[in-house]
Amino acid sequence: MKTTYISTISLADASRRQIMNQSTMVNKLGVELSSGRKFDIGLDLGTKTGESVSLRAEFHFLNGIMDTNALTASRLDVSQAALGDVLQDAQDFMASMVALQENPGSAEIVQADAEGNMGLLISRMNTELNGNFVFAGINTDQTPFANYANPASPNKVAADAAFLAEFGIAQTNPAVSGITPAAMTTYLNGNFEAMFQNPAWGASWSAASDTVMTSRISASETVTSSVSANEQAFRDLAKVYTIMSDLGNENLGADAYGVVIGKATEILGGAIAGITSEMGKLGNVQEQVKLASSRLTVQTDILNGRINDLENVNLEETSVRLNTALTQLETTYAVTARMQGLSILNFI
Amino acid sequence: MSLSVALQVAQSALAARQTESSVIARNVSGAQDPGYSRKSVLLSTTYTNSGQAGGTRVDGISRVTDSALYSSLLSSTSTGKSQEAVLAGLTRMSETIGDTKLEMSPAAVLGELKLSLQNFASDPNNAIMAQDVLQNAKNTVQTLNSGTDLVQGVRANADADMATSVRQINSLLGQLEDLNSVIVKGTQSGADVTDTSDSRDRVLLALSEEVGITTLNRKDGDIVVYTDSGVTLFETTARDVSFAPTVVFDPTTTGNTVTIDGVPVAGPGSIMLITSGRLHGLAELRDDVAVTYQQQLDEVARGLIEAFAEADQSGGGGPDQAGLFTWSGAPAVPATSTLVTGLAAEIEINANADPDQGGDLDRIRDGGISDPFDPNYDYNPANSAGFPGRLQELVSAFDTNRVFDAGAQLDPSDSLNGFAASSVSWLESGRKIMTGNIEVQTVIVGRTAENLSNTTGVNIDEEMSLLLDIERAYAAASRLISAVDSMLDDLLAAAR
Repeated sequence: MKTTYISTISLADASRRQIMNQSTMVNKLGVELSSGRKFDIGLDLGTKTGESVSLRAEFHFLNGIMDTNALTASRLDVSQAALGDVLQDAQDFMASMVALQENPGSAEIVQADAEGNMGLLISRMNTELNGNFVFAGINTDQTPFANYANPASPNKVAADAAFLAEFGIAQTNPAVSGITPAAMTTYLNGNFEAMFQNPAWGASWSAASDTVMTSRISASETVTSSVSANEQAFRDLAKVYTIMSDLGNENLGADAYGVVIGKATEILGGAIAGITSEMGKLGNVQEQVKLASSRLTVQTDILNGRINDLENVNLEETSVRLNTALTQLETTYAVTARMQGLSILNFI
Repeated sequence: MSLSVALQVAQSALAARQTESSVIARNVSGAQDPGYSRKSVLLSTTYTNSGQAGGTRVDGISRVTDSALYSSLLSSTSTGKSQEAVLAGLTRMSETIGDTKLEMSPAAVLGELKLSLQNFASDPNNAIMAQDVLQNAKNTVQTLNSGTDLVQGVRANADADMATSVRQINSLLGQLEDLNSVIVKGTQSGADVTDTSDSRDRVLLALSEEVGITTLNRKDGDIVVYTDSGVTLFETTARDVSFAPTVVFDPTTTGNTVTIDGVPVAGPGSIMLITSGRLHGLAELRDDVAVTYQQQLDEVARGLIEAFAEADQSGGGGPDQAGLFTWSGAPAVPATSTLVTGLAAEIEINANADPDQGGDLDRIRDGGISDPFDPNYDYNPANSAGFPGRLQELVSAFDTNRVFDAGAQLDPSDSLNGFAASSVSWLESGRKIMTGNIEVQTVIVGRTAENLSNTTGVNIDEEMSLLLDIERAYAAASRLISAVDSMLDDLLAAAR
């Protein structure tokens, strides 16, 4: 008759297995405690590993967008600053024109002013950031405007050619005084105007593309993030500065000069409004980018929190468990040693 | 005469105690042997012609067995070994994923690629960004290629292990045949076959690790062994188990079947499929688990080619053509929602976009990678340096819903990113479930073995206390003999 029976081997085996299990546990908890992450993420998460991998990819992607948003924002800032300069200049020029309108003797002063402004417009339109021309639309590797002050530039060449073709003389020729107001009006509304329309504009004035840069500013939002130098406002400004600087104004008759300055004032008013409106649009985009970036910050924080939830261990809990496991292991060692010493042979 | 009977009884008792102590010695020496079953001496009482009890006779030696526990140990061992084989393969394949922190899974690499495209899209004139995209694209291809190598390596290993397992089965069956014939003959002639029976049980246990078995006992200790699917493995003689290993595996390779006596029991097209044992686990890994994971990699590769395909920009309605990622069937794009076996192995970067192979990096931005001389597939005919349209389209393509082959056992309607992430989940969840199963199975096997050992094993303390009893009984019998001797002396002295 036997009530309970245990074989010697299973007695020994049981304590051996206990020690193995507990050592594995101590090892696992030790690694978790030192790394702060789960011992085997894939094994622990199972089906949720895919989520963890996606979250990490999404986290990197959104962080990447925040970086590219910074680039977009700096492009917008630079554009905004350049437009501010151009606008300021145009407004000052408007003031001088209005002040000096009635005084043909002032033509030379205004002309010098216009030349300076033309230079500034061209330099601002050719603003560069990271090797990209910000006003070139998507033709970011091309200088949008050629330098009008250089006689070999295509815009200057075209303007000279148009004048010559219309009146048979160059702008600098004193004979321009013979041009009638009517002829000047015809020229300004005709061949001169045509230079600032497509396709002549693209051929001689601007290398920019009408298509502007677009930027992805969040996982789903795309915004227009640049202004093309081909916008009407810039054409108008170029037109005004050309009119006031390079139509032989100092030699024009008073009537013809009146026509010229009248035309210039009219266009300049529209150009100023146009630039203000472009600046407004860019301002909206700047705001959008800023909002998108702050939303992204919130999103990445949430993603980061979720990743940590999935992958990290609670250090306090792990450390308590490790202590318990160590105590258990020590107890098992003690018990095993005692059991090894137990034998009926010691008593018979 | 009673005194002589008493002497005779005492003598037989001495003989029986000696046999018993020799059995105890055997038990003690086998105490640490897991396959050893406790032996005991079968005793019976002899009677004289007149019906008087005439002493103790040793009828033989028996071993303690528990056939119910034993057969459940066999089946749980088989199940556990099958699961272990699958888990080993899954663990190996999970190297394609690694720690999530290392960002080396196909899903993570796709994320990196998408990020580099986003960076490039924000600055399309930047050749360094383009180089970064190309580098990440190469990395993606590399990940898919090496993933395929690894999965096929797992299959090749499984195949080699199957061959080893079959060799082991054949050798065990040979041993079984020898032992069984010894037992049958021994039982018939009444010899002690207990140790041989222990050995046979050990062989059966080893056999159950390789293949799930059921046993049938017949007279004279004879045994018949069937696989768990009912194919005879052993009946008087061992049946031949054969398997032709395949050396090199690629995604299109199909492994050979294992046959027993010509009946296919594991591998493709098996009629009587075994359902447990290492052999079963290896076959499942080789023909099912690894194949499915390969299909998922292939579908990721196909989704990638599809996502980067270039559309006809002329409005002429030409077919889409393989762009940055291409394959042997280029310029065509692989048919949608249809698995192309082995695509993950053959996917590559289109040379037209790789400066190292004479291509032009700008084509990543401009399109026309499929055929630089066909203006219809050029997204940016003016070659504007800041053209972000195509790049932004590619960024979105990662999250566009596509149709995948349902055979890959994942959601067939998913984005490329989603599908790749599901594949990660599929593998890791398989590993988790299998690990859980094995933990349970280990406990079952452990408990069963423990119970069996507690039923049939040796406890030295008990043997020692039995030995004390035997010593006492031996002393008593000796004492009896000397008592009878002195009585006879007295009798003879009286008769003198």
